[in-house]
Amino acid sequence: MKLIIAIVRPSKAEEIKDALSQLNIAGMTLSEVRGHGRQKGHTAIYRGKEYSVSLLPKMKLEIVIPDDLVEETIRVIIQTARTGEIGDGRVFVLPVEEGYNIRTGEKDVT
Amino acid sequence: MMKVMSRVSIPLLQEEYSQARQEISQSFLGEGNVALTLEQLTLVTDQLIQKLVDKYLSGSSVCVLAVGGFGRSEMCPFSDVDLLFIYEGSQQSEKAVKAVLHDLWDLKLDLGHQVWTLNDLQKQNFGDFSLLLSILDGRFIAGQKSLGEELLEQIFPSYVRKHKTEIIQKLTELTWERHEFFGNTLYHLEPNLKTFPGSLRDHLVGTWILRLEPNQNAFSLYSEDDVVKAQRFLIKLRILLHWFSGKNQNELTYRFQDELTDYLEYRTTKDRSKVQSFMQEYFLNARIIYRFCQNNINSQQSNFSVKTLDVDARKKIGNAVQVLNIFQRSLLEKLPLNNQTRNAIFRALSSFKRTLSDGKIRGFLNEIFKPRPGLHDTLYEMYQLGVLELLFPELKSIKALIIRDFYHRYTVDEHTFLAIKNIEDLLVAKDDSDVRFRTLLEGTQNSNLLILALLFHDVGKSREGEHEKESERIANQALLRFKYEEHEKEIVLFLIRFHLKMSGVVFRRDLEDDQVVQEFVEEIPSVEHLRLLCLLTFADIKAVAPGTLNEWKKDLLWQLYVSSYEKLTLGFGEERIQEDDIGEKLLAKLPADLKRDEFESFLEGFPLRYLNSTSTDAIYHHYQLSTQLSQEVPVQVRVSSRKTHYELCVVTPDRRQLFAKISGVLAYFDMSVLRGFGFSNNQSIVLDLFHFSYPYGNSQLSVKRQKELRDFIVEAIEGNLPVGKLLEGKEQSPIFRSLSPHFKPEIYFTNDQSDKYSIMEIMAQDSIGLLYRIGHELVALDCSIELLLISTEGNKAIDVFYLAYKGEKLSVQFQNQLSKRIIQSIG
Repeated sequence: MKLIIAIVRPSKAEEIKDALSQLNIAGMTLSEVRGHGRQKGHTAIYRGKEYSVSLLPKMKLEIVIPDDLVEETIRVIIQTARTGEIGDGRVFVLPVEEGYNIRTGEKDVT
Repeated sequence: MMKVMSRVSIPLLQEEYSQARQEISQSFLGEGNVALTLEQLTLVTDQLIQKLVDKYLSGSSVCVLAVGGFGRSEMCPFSDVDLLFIYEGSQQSEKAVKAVLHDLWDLKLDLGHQVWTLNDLQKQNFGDFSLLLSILDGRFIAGQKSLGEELLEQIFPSYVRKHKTEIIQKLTELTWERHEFFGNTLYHLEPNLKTFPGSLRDHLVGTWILRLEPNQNAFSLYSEDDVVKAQRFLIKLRILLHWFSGKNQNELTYRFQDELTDYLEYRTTKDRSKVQSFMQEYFLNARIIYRFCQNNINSQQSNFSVKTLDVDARKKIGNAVQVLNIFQRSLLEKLPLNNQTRNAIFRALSSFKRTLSDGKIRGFLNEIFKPRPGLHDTLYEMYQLGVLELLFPELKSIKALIIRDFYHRYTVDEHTFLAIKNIEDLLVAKDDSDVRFRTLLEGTQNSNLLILALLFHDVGKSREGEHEKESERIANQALLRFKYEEHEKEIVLFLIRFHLKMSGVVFRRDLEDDQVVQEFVEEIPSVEHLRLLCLLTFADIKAVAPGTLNEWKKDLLWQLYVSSYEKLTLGFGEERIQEDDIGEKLLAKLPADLKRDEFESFLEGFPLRYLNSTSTDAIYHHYQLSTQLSQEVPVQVRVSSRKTHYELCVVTPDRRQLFAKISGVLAYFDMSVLRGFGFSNNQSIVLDLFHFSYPYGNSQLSVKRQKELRDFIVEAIEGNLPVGKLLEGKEQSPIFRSLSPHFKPEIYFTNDQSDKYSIMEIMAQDSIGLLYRIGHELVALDCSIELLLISTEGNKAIDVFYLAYKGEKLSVQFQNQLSKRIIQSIG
């Protein structure tokens, strides 16, 4: 099993969710986060005053999936989230040792 | 009557108890008799405890009292069994009490118990407040009766009599705290029947206060019978919830709403689904209980020295205007109504005409709807008493209406009032993340219309289809009825129609994409519309559920506001009208006497936003003025009166110092410029439009004075009237400088926003002559003005100028020089 963490533009989260459901991936956790990568925020001007937006609003998706779905999932996320501009986000893949279903107490079998 | 249990073996007792409860359950599900069920469940529990007391406590000096709900004989199937053991203090009695408790635990009762000596109870003022309250409903069950009688008939009543006022006050505080904890609303989508506002706990509070202080002037919006029926309804639901869930379940979740709706055979009606009908009945009953509790607490106001609005009770309330006058006074004097006034209003309402359409009412509504402390409470009170529904029967469709979705926590009407409260709360916002939105509220001239739009923004939710369109249609009827002005109607309907637009863009579109912002802005007629829409979106999202509008969402909303604001101000002249931009819709309504080709030529070169932000009639009028220009009459000037201001329209071929001359004459006439714009088309015909007000006297300009103003402007533009000389005397006067406290002007330049021009944005204290002084400095440095945009937010003037010097953008050095001169002049 792998944990996929994707940091994407807020406007792309819904689209990614829909695209992943085509792969029968329905379980995911979405969180509203703020941060920056290379984009490092920007300076906005309001009423003549500059103010810096150093931590940009982003959406974080966390998905645990079997190993054989990892490549396809990454491909779908990148294709859907990409605009070609700085600020499109990041995808990370982490190993998951075990998973349990709290309601039933069962261990995930992969 | 249930079979009396006769043995004391625990398994047998358990079996008998369970069987007795089973029989009660079947009887209830068959007959639905609430009172009988409560009585029977209490009785079998009494018997069970009596058996154990006989077994262990026979002959000892111990008394067992039922307290709390069990004491009131209001046992629901899985209610707690609250017991108070009183003993004389011996170790033997203590051991016997433990034995009883062990058996009760073995019987798996949900037990709550306390063990006290009479002496200790007295010494410690009956323990904590919850024990004291539970003893209010105390009842002897078993053991040494004389101990129970001593407590319940002598010691406790005497203590309560002595401390009655403190008890009521503490009870009131706890009730307000509990209400606050649950968001001060009974309208939750998944309410708790035991603890929420409007729940059985509220009924209890009202009943306790009545019992402690029976001689009072409680508000009688509902009869005693209404209250009894409402309480029975809630208990019935609670009994069903316990049977259906098999546990002490008091939360009316979606699942149980569905089950109870079917079990109680609610039907779908024209406006509501069967679940919505069921929940409406729940909310209407919960509201009776809520009011019963509130009114009994309010009736104690005199004891707590709460000052209320002074209304002459001898005067009969004869019409809606008098009612509105009382609420307006309540708001302005920051005093709540008392029960006497509430009664008088409630009685009077039924005699009024069912549909009110008095134009005078609009004036009151505009005043009442202005955001200020107490607005939400006043409007809520008007709603509860039926005043708002009398004015706006359209609100009936959202009364206690539930819309089940993932996000909303409250009923539609409750959400609406919470949204209004969010605007009121912004007035005193301290957090940086909210202060920026507060500045928008402080800057708007139409905050009363924002409140009106919020009141109606979801009224269409009871209908099929896109609710914002339905809401707009329904609101339009109400606005017509009260004869709202065209510009007021336009703003309110715009806000309702677009109330989902901004959140849609914020959360579903990429705000970094300039095209996204551009498309959004194309639908926004002015900065004022944007400001109000942003505030409405803020209030609307925040009223969905606690925590919905988090910092993350606020940042995104603000980002869209700022990007859009920039496009509407600095980017006002970015796009110019070309032939293709003039839609058929605009051409189709062109009056027959106006020529299509010439009309198109007149528009070409004006900013594209002119088309979006100006009414069709006004565009035709501006064009008509241009057709009347000739060598003999090179200036066309019109001054017209509007509801809240005057409008000056000037059409003339472009010439030097035009802006300085016009603003100079306005300053000479002491006019305060509110907003306006000025730009020229491809043929160098200038269109200047100023909205201004006369800040002195009754704010009215006589016809003679209007004519003088017009003549002065014509003479000044034609060069026959030296404006500088005209203003010499005025400029020496302190009145000419500033009307209110001073703040430092700020000037900002950008060369990036436009291909050909430098854009200068000035924020300064609004004062008569401000524009003239800016214009004067621009003339002095030979700057040409391509476009200007004037707006005022409260006492702050925000003006945007598109400038060039000898056909080029201004250099940084030039900008600094200009900035310095202007600040010296206006600072």
